[in-house]
Order: sequence, then C-alpha cells, then structure tokens
Amino acid sequence: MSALDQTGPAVPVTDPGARWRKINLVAGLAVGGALAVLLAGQSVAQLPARVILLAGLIALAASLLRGRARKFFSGPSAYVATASLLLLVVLAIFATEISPQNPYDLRQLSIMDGRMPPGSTTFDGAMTYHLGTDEQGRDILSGILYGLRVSLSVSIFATLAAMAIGVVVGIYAAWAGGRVEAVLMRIVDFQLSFPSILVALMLMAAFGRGLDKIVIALIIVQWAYYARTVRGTALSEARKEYIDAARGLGLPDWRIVFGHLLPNCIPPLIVISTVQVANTIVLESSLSFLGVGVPITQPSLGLLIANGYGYMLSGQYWMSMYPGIALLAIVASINMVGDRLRDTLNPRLQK
Amino acid sequence: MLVFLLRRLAQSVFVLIAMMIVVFFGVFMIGNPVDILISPDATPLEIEETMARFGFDQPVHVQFLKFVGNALQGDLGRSFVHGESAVSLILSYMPATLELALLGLIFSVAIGVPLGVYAGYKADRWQGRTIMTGSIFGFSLPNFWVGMLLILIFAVELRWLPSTGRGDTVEVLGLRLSIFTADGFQHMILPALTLALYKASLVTRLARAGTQEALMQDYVKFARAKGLSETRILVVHVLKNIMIPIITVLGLELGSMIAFAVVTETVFAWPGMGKLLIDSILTLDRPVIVAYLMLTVIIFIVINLIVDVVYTLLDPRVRVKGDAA
Repeated sequence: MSALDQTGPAVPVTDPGARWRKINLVAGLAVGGALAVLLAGQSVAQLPARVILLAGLIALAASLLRGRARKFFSGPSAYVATASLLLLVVLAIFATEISPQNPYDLRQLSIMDGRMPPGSTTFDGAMTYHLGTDEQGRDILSGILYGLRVSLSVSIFATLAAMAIGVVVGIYAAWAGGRVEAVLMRIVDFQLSFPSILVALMLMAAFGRGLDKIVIALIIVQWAYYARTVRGTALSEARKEYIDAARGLGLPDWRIVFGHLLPNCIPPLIVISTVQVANTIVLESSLSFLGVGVPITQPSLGLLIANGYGYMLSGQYWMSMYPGIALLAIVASINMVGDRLRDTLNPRLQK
Repeated sequence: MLVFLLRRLAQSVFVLIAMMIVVFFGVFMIGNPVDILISPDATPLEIEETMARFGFDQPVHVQFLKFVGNALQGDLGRSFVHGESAVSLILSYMPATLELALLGLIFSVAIGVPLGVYAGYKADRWQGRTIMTGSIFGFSLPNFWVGMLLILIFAVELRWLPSTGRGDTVEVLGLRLSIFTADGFQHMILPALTLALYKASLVTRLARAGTQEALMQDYVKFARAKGLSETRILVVHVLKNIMIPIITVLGLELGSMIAFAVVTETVFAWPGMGKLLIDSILTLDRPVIVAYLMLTVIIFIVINLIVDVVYTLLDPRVRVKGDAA
C-alpha cells in the first residue's frame, strides 16, 4: 500500500464490458432497493417496486448469460430448471394479483371452510380450493404464493446484503494486509467453525422472531463465507499486472480497489451466491419451522409447513405437503440453475 | 508446540468470554419472563416479590456480574419452567441427543460409503452420475422436510415405525438410553435416518473421490494382475484405504450433528437437548437458553481445539504457519 502521487489526468480505461457493468450495477441496486421497499412493507410503492424487481432480476440474468446462452441451455434440464425458476419467481412477485384469495385478509376467510381437502369449493361455490384449506379456512394455494414471496425476498435480500458486506470486508482485509487482515480473518474462521444453523438459532434466540430480525440473522450467518472467498480472490488478483499498471498510472488507492480490483473479484461469487440463495431459503424455512423465524402474520413456506404439521398425523396431509413441494421446487430449481451456471461460467470446475 | 497450545487456549477463553457477553445480553433483551412466571391476576406486591426472588429488579450489569460469578462455579441458573438447575437439566437431556447423533453417524457411513464407492467405480457411467445427482438432493433438501416425508410414508401410510417420542429406555451406566431396547431402537430409526441424510451425501462424495483416486494406484493394478475379483478389490483393498479420511471428517462432523439435531428432534418430538432449546425459546426460559448456548459453544471450542492440535501434530506445515502468525 504505497502512497502514490497523482502525476496527471487518469487515462480512460477502455473496457468492452463497461456498459454491461453499469447495467449490472443499476440492476443490482434496483433489486436490492425494491426488495428493501417490499420487505419494509409500504403498500403505496408495492406494484412499481415489484415491476422494478422483476426487471432488475431479468437484466441481471441477461447480463450473466450474455454470449453464453447457447452453452447454458445445453440439455433439457437447463430449460426445465430455468422455466420453473422463472415461473416461481413471477408467481411470488405477483402473488397478490394472482392468488385467488388474500389469506391474511380476515374478511375473505370463512372459518366454516377450515381443513377442507383439495378440490372442495366454498359454500356458495364461488371459489374452488384447489389445494385445500388450513384450519382457519385459508386457501393453501394462496398461502403458498404469499409464503413463496416471503421466503424468496428474505433469502435474496439477505444474500445480497451478506455478499456486499463480505466483499467489502474481504477486499479490505486483502488490501490492508498485516494485523487488520489477521484479526478479520480470525473472526471469519471462528464464525465458520460453527454450523450456520446453530449460529442462526443463537441469534434468533437472542433477537426473537421477526422479518427484520431473520434478515439480520441470515446476513450475519453468511457474510463470513463471502469475506473468505473474496479475500482469496483479491489476494491473487492484486498480484496481477493490471493492478501494477493501474498503480503505474498513478491512480489513487480507492480507484484501484473499486474500479479494478472489485469488479474482478465479483464473477467467482455469482455462482456461489446463486446456490447460497437456495441454502438461505432452506435455513430460513428451518428456522421458521422451529418457530423462531418469520412472524405468524407473514408466514414463509417453512412456517406454513409447521402450521400444517400437527394435522399430518391425522391424514390431513395437504396443509404441509403442498407448501413442502413448493419449497422443494424452488430449492431444486435454484440449485439446478446454479449447477448449470457453474458449468457455464467456470469450465475449470467441471472436472 | 506449547506456545501454540497456550495461544490457542487464550483465544478460546477470550471467545468464551465474548460469547458469554453476547449471549447474556442478547437473551436478556427478549420478552419479560415475569409475564410467564406469574398469573395475570397477581397483585403488584406478588409481582415485585417474584421479581426480587429471581433478581430481575436489579440493574442489568449487576445481574450480569452475578451471572458470571455463578457461571464460573458451574451454575448457569435455575430453569424458570422446570425449577431445577439449567445445567443439570440439559445434561439429563444430553444422552438422548448423543445416541441419536451417534446412530445418525453410523447410518450415514452405512448409506454413504457403499454408494460412494460404487459411484467412484462407475464414475463416468449413468449409475455414478445418478448417485451424484441424488447426493445434491441430500445436500439441498431441508432436514425437517425429509423427516416429515419419512413420517408420512413409514408412520402414517405404512404404519411400520413409530413417528414420535423415544419409546422404552433402559439404564446403561447411569444413562437412560433407547438404543438398547427393541422399541426404543424402532423409535430411533426415522430420526436417525433424517439426521444421517445430509452427512450421507457428504460421505458419498468423499468416498467417490477417494475411490476414483485409489483405483489409479499401483496396488489396485497389482490386485487386478493377481486376478482378484473386482468386488474383492473394492471391498478389501480400496475400502481400507479410503476409510481413514472419511472417519476423520465424520469425527469432526459430530459437533454439527448435534446442531442439526435441533431440527430433527423437533420434527420427531425426540426429547433431547435441541427440543429442550426450542421449547425454552418458546417459553422464554432464559437460564436454559443461556446454558444451552454456553454448553454448545464450549463443546465446539473443545472440538475445534482438538482438531487444531491433532492437525498440528499430523502436519508440520500448519505448525510453522501458526508460529509465524
């Protein structure tokens, strides 16, 4: 970290990917911002935020597959996984508009319709409960769509935030070196020596349940993982010639780090973060299943499963089985897309 | 080596103190235990008396110092709900968790090793690929969902195995264990299988990698040249050589089995430490939560310390790095 004096105007660096990098940045910020708005629950901005969210996600996916689409879509499993993931995301984002009932609006519920098997209709025949109802007469299908939204938004937001924190800490550690690096990495090592479910459980035991609290817990659980990965990448990138060249140009440290080092440390994280969203969904649903996750007013898939679990032994399987299948579908499709992405982006790992 | 050990011990003590502060103040913030301990129609005088009895009327830092003082003597408080010492309460629930984790480990080896060896043997065929794809599901399926599915199939539909509880227990060396009674073992099968699934996919991957590597070694070529059957080569020669790393990893994973047991125990209403923790969280039984978290942290610190020391003994490179840092 040598102090370099600026000797002249910075030479513009020509970069073919610069436009896409800007699009990525905007899309990433849009996704994060829209999710934050949605999680905060301001009903005014709901629909625009959702449209922005979908657009942002699609832009991110498009830039990821730019020029590699043919390789990504080699084989039927890639089509199936992408299609089901897209379908589930759209269903989750527009749950309010699509679902036949708002399961958390008490005016739309009838306690008389409680615990009805799949395919039954309301008393006046106005609506069919395709997947049955739970003990309070809520339509399971609507519950799944709303729950899918909670699960996905919590996990994606937590993963993005953890990635941001992890990237900053990891790069800072690699760039600063010395004692700072040793202390930071010691903390990371220490945290990673505990299983994530245990750390999350501890935090939720301390925080109590709540949507904001589970997001914070999931961020704390994950950041260390990214910090370690980014530090490794940053250490090897920092030794490369383009960093020397940037130094030679007399760029200030912050420009080298944010303009050159950081963008080159992100690509290895993309695959990790895709799979990590699936892991976060599993972790979140486990915590919610245990009753220490999301609040009962905004149930995720895990909490829906837990609610129906008590009735399963008496043969009323639909209350927890269908949310379970939805959970399985989203986790499996994210994992399969992540698997394809890894093969597409890092061919070295294929072996 | 001594310096390394001392430094590690000092670090562990520091971590323990940090965890103590975090856990105590974290748990202190949630809810008001008085609401649960006292009936809603209690008079203000009764409320005050109960507060004084449990020490809630004192400022936080006084409570914390008292907590630390007691903790140093091995006393982490009394359970509000059960009325006995939190540590002895947890210790009385511990055998159930340990036997479950142990049977889970055994299951994961019994499932994972044959699958992994076979997948390594048929690495480029459809059999190997299918097993590897299956192991991805083992990693990504939520633990509680697997347990639920097993209950639905084996307990509700087929009625082969019991779904909840511990069954008959028998006293062995002063511990109440289920594993030695037929009924207790039946109760253990489903939870242990659930707990084993994640580790089984880990073992499958390890065994596959090990087998692929071992098959290229000279002793396998020699065994083939001797005309031994492929089964004998796999079972006798390859298996012997891949078991050491697998057992090492599984030993290290025993700690995380205890952590994962929280979910499994809740699904199967298995009366172990994890179920106790969840019940305590739901009833705001602070001393038990704190005691559980402290005990688990200690278990993990001890495991990590042992791992570090063993690695240092086995691999001199680590020692050099550790001394330089």
